[in-house]
Amino acid sequence: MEDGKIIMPAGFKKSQADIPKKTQEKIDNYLSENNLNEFGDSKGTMYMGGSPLYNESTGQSTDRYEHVLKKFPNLAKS
Amino acid sequence: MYIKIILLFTLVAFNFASPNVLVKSFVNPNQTIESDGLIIDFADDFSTSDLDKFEALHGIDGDIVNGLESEKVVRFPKIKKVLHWVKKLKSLAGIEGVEPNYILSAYNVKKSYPQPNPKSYSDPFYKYQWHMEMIGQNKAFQYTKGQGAIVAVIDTGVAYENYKNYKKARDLNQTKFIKPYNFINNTIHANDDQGHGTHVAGTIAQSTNNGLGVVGVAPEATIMPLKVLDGSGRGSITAIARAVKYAADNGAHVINMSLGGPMPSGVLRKACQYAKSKGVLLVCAAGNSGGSIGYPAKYPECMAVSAVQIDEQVTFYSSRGKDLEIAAPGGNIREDMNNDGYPDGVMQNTIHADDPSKDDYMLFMGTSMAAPHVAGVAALLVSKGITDEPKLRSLLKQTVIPKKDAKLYGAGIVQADKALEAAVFNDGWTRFAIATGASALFVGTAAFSFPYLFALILCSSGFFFFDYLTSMSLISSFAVLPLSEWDQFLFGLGDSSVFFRSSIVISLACGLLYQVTWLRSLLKGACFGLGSYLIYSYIAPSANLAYMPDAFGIESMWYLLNGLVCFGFGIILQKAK
Repeated sequence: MEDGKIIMPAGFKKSQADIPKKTQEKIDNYLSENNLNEFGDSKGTMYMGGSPLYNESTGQSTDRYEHVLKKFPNLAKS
Repeated sequence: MYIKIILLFTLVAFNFASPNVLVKSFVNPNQTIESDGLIIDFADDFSTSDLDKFEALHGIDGDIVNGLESEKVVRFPKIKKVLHWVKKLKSLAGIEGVEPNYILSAYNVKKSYPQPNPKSYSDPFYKYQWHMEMIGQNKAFQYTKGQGAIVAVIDTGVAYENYKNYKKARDLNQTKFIKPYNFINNTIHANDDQGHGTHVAGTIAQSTNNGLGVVGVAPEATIMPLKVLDGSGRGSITAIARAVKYAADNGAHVINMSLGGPMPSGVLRKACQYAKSKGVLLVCAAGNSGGSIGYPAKYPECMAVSAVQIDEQVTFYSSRGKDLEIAAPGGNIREDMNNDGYPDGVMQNTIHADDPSKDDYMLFMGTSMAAPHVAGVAALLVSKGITDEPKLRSLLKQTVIPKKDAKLYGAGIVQADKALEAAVFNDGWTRFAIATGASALFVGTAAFSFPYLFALILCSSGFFFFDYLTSMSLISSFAVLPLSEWDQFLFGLGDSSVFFRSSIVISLACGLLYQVTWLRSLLKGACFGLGSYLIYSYIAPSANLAYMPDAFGIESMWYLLNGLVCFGFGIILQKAK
């Protein structure tokens, strides 16, 4: 059988998130009102590695608010 | 080259005058440590609004580590006079811990790293698996390869079969699988559509010495692939709880859960309690938040595993806290400290996330990668007959590379070879010592004859000192175990036979053969040998008894009473004319 190759991990970049405090509050309120967990998923969701904010194949970390805004982009609008 | 590693140290051991400037560490004069602000661990009931009030009161601004709202670890990077703040805050209500956020310039921390010997296996990429060398996987191979142990991998599935678009990963070609189940669509096809579960399963039982790729910790263990996470890595608590119960009901000895979430769940906790009550060891990734440990790892029924990198330091991402039990290599793909040309991640064979029909060798880093190293070592112990969950857990923890900070490493870094040595030799020598002590007391050394000693050793400890024979043939692998443990060859690993661990057979033999004088030495040796084995099982149980309730110490009493009966028959034979 032919062997495979070693895949180099994709590079990571430092999270550049600078979400205004007001937007952060809006996000937290939205999550609370909609009975979602802090990542914007239904309560009782479990994650590979324990968190959706960290990618074990790339080492990439994501800011929580950045993560939620990707899911609910409307929350970024004032 | 300057390599910066963020480390958390306890403050207690440190005493320095100016905490926000570079200071020399007592640990190693070549290390240079600076702190980047402060880290505060707040009490679990400290709410976000409490934190806001705290920040306003003290005029400081913090970031919750990794942004997890439920985490109570907050970093205050802008604080300058760190020691002043530590003194000011450490005794305040609601604060469980406060310490500088140390940055260690580690250019001279450790010059030698675990270096696998490429000649050990025919697998060409083994030389990049520093993590296997770190846990002593190669040395553990002389004792066992994990045969008979069943490890459930509750994850994204495993690339274990050719089915529709899914292909079996090439370096799982000799790995054994059993009772797969997909708890997302309720089928028996637990195929991996992400890559995470296959990587985890590979660490436990990658096909080894097959001329391909990489090695696993316990390659002859059997994997039970249970899919609970979808292609995006998400899953429900209900599915995971069902999978835990399924694994416990279908013969798993060890469950690996490289998953978790920030919120506790009664349903999942009950499932974990159920599995533990059936003697299953639950090994869980502590989490990658850098903050406190997630669930289910935080439950006392589970063994929470933190991640270390190639220099044995805890990784920046690894979750931490008092509930940690043990550490294992999780890797760090942001570094190449050993200069082997590849980042220092954990290398295993897995599928491509965007095409499950393709597989290659990938370097991952996370506590998800650390947990299966522990699960693999547990599988090695199980294959040596240690199926009692508390004993498994304690052996794993007693044989680590010890580390001082339990909140970062638990007991220390898991060691396969040391755990196996302890399991094989400590038990063997102790049983043998009890047997010879009892013999000297009741029989006297003058009565020691070859048949007596042969039966004594066979029934008490087995010929454990010939353990290296186990790789030579099935027959020799019988001889290294005490007679009472031969049931595992007949019935497989799992709950042990009550019949084999009792005085029933020896009582019958003594009754029937009492008059045969030339057999008395043999019988006497067997009585004291078996009695010693059973008494030691009373003191330190290594396996659960089938159909025997453990409540009210019934199982323990069984061992004690039967051990005493054996001794009784031995004394009668000794006094017989």
